[in-house]
Amino acid sequence: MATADEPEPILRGQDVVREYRTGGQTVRALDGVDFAIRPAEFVAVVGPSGSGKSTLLNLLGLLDVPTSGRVELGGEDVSTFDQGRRTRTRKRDVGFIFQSYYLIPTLTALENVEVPRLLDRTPVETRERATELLERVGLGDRLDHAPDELSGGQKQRVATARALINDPNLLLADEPTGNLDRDTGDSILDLFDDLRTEQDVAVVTVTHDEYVADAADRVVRLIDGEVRG
Amino acid sequence: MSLRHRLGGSVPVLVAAVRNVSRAKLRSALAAAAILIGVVSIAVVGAGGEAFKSGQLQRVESQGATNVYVFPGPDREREYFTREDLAEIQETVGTTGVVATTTRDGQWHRRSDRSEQVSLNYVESAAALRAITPVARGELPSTWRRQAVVSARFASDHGLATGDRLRISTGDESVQTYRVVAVLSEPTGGVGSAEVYLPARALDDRQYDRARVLTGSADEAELTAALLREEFNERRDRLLVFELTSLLRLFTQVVNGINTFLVGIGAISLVVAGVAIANTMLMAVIRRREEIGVLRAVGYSRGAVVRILLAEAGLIGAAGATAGVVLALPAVMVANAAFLGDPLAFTPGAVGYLAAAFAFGVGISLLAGAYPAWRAANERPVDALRG
Repeated sequence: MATADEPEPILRGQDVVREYRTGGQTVRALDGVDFAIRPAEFVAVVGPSGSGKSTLLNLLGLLDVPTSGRVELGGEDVSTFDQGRRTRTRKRDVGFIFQSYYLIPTLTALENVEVPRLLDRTPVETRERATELLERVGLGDRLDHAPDELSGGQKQRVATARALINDPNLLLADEPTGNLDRDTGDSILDLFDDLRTEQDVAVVTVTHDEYVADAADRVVRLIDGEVRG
Repeated sequence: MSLRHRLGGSVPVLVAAVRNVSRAKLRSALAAAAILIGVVSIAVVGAGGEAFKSGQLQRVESQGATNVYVFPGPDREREYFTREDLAEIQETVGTTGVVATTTRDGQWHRRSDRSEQVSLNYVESAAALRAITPVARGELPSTWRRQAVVSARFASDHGLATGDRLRISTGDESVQTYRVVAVLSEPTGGVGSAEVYLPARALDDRQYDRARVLTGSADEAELTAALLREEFNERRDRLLVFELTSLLRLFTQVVNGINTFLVGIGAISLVVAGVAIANTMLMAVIRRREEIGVLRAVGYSRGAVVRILLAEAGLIGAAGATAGVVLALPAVMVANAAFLGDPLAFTPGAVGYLAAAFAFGVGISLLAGAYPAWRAANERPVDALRG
C-alpha cells in the first residue's frame, strides 16, 4: 500500500485482532486488520453497527491494545508501553471528538476546552490557546456560555476545540456530523480540511454519513471485524 | 487574565476539586455536615473535659495537696487521737510538722436570749493555725488562751471585727468568752475548715479527731502517707490516711477514662461521617463516570484522577472540620470560663483535642475518598465511554 514518496505513517497496524470476553463467550471485534494513518490524511471508517468501528477507533487512540498483532506508533509497538506512557502519548498526539461530546455541564465553553491542559500549570498560555481555538471554530462570542446554552453544532465545535488544544497529530472523531444539519456538518468538515492543510493533522472518523465518507481521502469499510473493499 | 486564574494555575488539582465539589453543593454540604458533627463532638467533649479536669485539679491543689490527712482508723479502740497517738505519728514522720485539730459544734450566745450554732475548730497553737491557714487581719498571740480567730465569711456575715467578744459554749459546758484577735483570709474551704478557731487548751479532754501532716510538696505528701500506712496499718487499719496526690491521680484517671470514652463516641460519629463521605464520593464517581473516562482519554493519568478525587474528599472534610472547630471554640470557651475562670485559658490538652479533631476529620475524609478515587482511576476509559 505504501509507496516511496508517501510520508511515514503516524500509526500503523498489522494483522490487528481484538477479542472481548463477554459472558463466557469470546467475541472477535477485529479480525486481522491492517491499517496505516499518514499525516494530513482524512480516513472515514464505515460499516454497520457491531462491525468493529469503535474498537478500531479505541486502538487508534491508544485507549486499548490489540489481543494480537501490532499497533505501531513511530515504529514502536504500543503494547510495550505502560499505562503512564500510553496516557502521555495520548495527550501529546491524539485528539478525541466523542459522539456525545461529553462536555462538562458546569464549565463554560472556554473552561471545557481548557480541561485537557488544566493540570499543566500554564494557565495563561492555556487560556490564550483555548480562546484562539474557540474563535477559530466560530465561537469567539460564546466563550462564557455553559454547554446547555449552546446548540448541538456549537457543542460539537467546543468538543472539536477541546480535541485540538494539545496540538495533536491525529484527530479521532466518532460520528462528527451525526446530530448536525448539513450546513453545520459542512463547517466541521471545512475545519478538518484546514487542520490537514495547515498543520498536517490526520483525521480519522467513524461515520454512518455517506456525505462525510465522500469527503474523505480514503474509506475503510469494516464488516464483521474485517476490512472489505 | 485575572490574578485568581493565574494563582489557580499553580494548584490545578485543587481548582478542579473545588469545581467538582461545588457542582453537587447539597450533597457536599451534607457530607461536610456529618464531619462537622463528629469534629464538634470530639472537640467539645475533649477540650471541655480537659478544662474541667484542670479546673478541678487546680481547686484541689489549692486546698492542700502538700498535706496528709490522718483520721482514727476503724480498727482503733478509740475514735480520737490522744497526745500519745500524736507523738507516735510525729515520730514516724520525723521533723515534718503535725497539726492536730478537733472539730466540734458549739453555741454562740450572741445575746443573753439568743444563741446560734457555729462550727468550732480547736487548734493546738497559734503557729499550728498559721501553718494550716493564712491569716488576713490581726495578730495571733504567742500564748493562745482566750482568743478566737474567725473565718473571713463568718466575720463579714456577722459584722465581726478584731476586739469583739464571742460567748461560746460546747455541750453541757459553761459559756466561755473569747476575744476575736484575727480574721482568716478567704477562701478557707476544704478539709477541716470551720467558722471559729479556738485554742486546744480550751478543750478539757484534749481529744483530737484528726491530724494534718504538713509536707513540702505533693510528692513528699504521697511518700509520707505511704510511710504512715506502712507503720500503722500493717495488720489493722489503725489510721485512715488521705493525701490528695493519690486522690488527684485517681481523679485524673477517672476523668481521663470518661473523657476517652466520650471522645471515642465522638470518633464513632466521625467514622459514620466517613461512611457518608465515601457514599458521596462513590455517587460522584458513578455520576461522572463518562467524564472521568474523557479525562483519562485526553491524557489525565490515573494518579491525576486519584489526586483530584482525594482533593474533593479532603475539601469536604476540611470544610466540615473547619466549621466544626469554629463551632466548638465558643463551647470550649464557655467550659474554660466555667472551670478555669478565663474563656481564653486553653490548656495544652484542649488545644491538642481541637487539633486532633480537625486532623481526624480531614484524615477520615481522605480515607473515605480513597476507594472511590481508586475505583474511578482504574476503570478503563473505553468501558467508561461505552456508556
